[in-house]
Order: sequence, then structure tokens, then C-alpha cells
Amino acid sequence: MTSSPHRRSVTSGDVLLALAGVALVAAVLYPGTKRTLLERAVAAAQADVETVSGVATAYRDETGGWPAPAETGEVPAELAGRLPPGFSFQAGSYTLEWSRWETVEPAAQPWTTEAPPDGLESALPPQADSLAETEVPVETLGAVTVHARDGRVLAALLERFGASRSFVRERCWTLVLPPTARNRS
Amino acid sequence: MTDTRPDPPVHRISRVEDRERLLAEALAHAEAQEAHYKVLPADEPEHGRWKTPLAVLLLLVAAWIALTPPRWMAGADAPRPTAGERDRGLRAAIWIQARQVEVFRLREGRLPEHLSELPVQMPGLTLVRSNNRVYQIRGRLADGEILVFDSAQPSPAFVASAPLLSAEGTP
Repeated sequence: MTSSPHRRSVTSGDVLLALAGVALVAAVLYPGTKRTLLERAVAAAQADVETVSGVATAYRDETGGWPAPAETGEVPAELAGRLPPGFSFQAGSYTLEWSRWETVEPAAQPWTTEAPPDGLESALPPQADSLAETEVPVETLGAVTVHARDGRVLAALLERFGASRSFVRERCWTLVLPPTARNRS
Repeated sequence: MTDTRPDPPVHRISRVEDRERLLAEALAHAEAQEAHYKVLPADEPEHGRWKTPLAVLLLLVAAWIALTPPRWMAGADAPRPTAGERDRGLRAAIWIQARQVEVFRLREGRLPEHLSELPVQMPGLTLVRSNNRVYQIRGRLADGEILVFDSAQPSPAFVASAPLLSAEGTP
């Protein structure tokens, strides 16, 4: 008994149908996969922020000051030995940044309300000359910033940590760690 | 004495009639081969013709799902930061930057020429000095408008960002 070669051959219709089936399955699975990846990224970013802020706060409680700032994606030197082994400030979908900001209480330095007339600006001495010699309380804040292209990660972080502690700007979200110890300038 | 060696092939087909005959045979053979593989078995049209339209239909459905996935399949889209949240973030950034300008002024006895003189510069903000004492910090809101912080008359909207900078602002 011989079989016809036509019955065993694969036609272009068979190939096209197989490709269409694969494309359909991929299209159905894609949204769920994308959502799962986003949820993982958000959870990982939240965990990383909590880790960094917790370690930095512990460092501040021990030493009385926040760690020195570091470039985006780089682990601050003071925190390197305190973070979990292998902890990185560079994740797949986001990057961490540690900052330290010095601020002054508005009440300690009231805003100038009178501007000099035109042409007299250079003749006037800077207002802060005398204040530079006085002691004014300067507070130091710590900040953990997450840089992410996906705004949904930033929105999730803002919702998780609250608008009273954090804010969103452009492609980054920043958690402000409050001052507890006051330095003098 | 005759030469018994066969003629070289070029001699055998050198005649025009021979070449035309060989060409016709070759063409006929090629057509027969093509027809042999081209013709479907008797039952093939009934079983195979639906495959291509179905494949095209499936591809169209796949493209529709990939480009605009229905909500029941993709789920609710996660929210992105609203314009109000971004504007509030801009005010907070300007407020923090202004306080850093004050620290600089206290330490250096002058206003900075640019925000780059500060230890930390927030992106997207510019410093405009009105004179030796008064300055403005400007940034762009989500709707494109310019938000101005004037050190002489700070808007209460900026002061609303103060909880960020104090221990009271933490839960």
C-alpha cells in the first residue's frame, strides 16, 4: 500500500494556521503577563525603599546624621555593609537614589519683603552677611528616590507611602525621611 | 578507416531541430512535474480551503487583543500619577529647593547664581535672582504653565508642602 505524498505534505494553510494560533495565544497571555510583571516591580520597589529607609534610619539613630548622598544607582558607602548581601540600587525597571538635603526653618530666616529700587542691587550688601555669623538651626533630611519610566510604579509608591511623606516629579518618586536631630550651621 | 569514436555532445545537438526538440522535452517535463505537485488530491479542496481564511481571522483577533485588550482580559489598568499629584510634587520640590537656597545664603552670605551651586539640584527647576536678596524658583506645571516661587511673597500653596519636611508629616 502506498500513500500519496500530497496527504503527508504540509501546506501553506497549515503553516499559516499554526502561526495564527501561536499569535492568538501570545496575545491572550500578554496582558496578564504584563500585569504580573508590573505587580512584581511595584512590590520589589516598595520592599527596596523600606529596606533602604530602614537601614538609613538605623544609621542616623546610631551616628546622629544621615549617610552621605550617592549617585543614582549607587549604594551609599555608609550603607554598603548594612544592606542585605547582594542588594543593588539598580533593578530591572527602576533605579534607587539616596539623597541628603539640608534645609532651614522658615521662621529662622524670614523672607525678605522689600526689594531695592532698580540700579541699587549691587550697592546693597547681601542680607545674609550678618546672619552668616549667627547660629541658625539647619535640619538635614534623608530622601530615597525611585526613578522609573513606568508611571504606574510611581503612582503605586505614592499610594503606599502617602502624600504626606512623598511626592512624584517627572519620572521619579521621592520619600522624604524626617529630621530628628538638629545641627547648627 | 572510419572513426568509431562517438561524436562529442556538441556535435549531436548542434542541429537546430535537435536543440528545439530537447528544449521542448525539457519544458514539457517541467510542466508535468509542476502539475504533479500543484494539483491537490480530490479531497484536499474540501479539507484545506478553510485553513487560510481561519488563519487570517485568528491573526486579526490576535492583533485586536494585542492592540486593545478587552478589560475582562487585561484587568483594570493601574493608575498613573495624576496632573494634580505631579503639580503637588513640583511645589514640594520647589519648596525643598528654596530652603536649600536659604541654607546656601546663610553659609555663603550671598544667593547662588544658579541652582547647580547647591549640593542637590532638582531637575526642571530654574533660579532667577531679582536682586541680592530676592529670588524666584520656577518650574513647569503639568498643563505647561510656569509655577513661580517668589521668596518675597511665597504662596501658601508652597507652605502646604511643609509637612514633608517635618517630623509631624510622618504617620
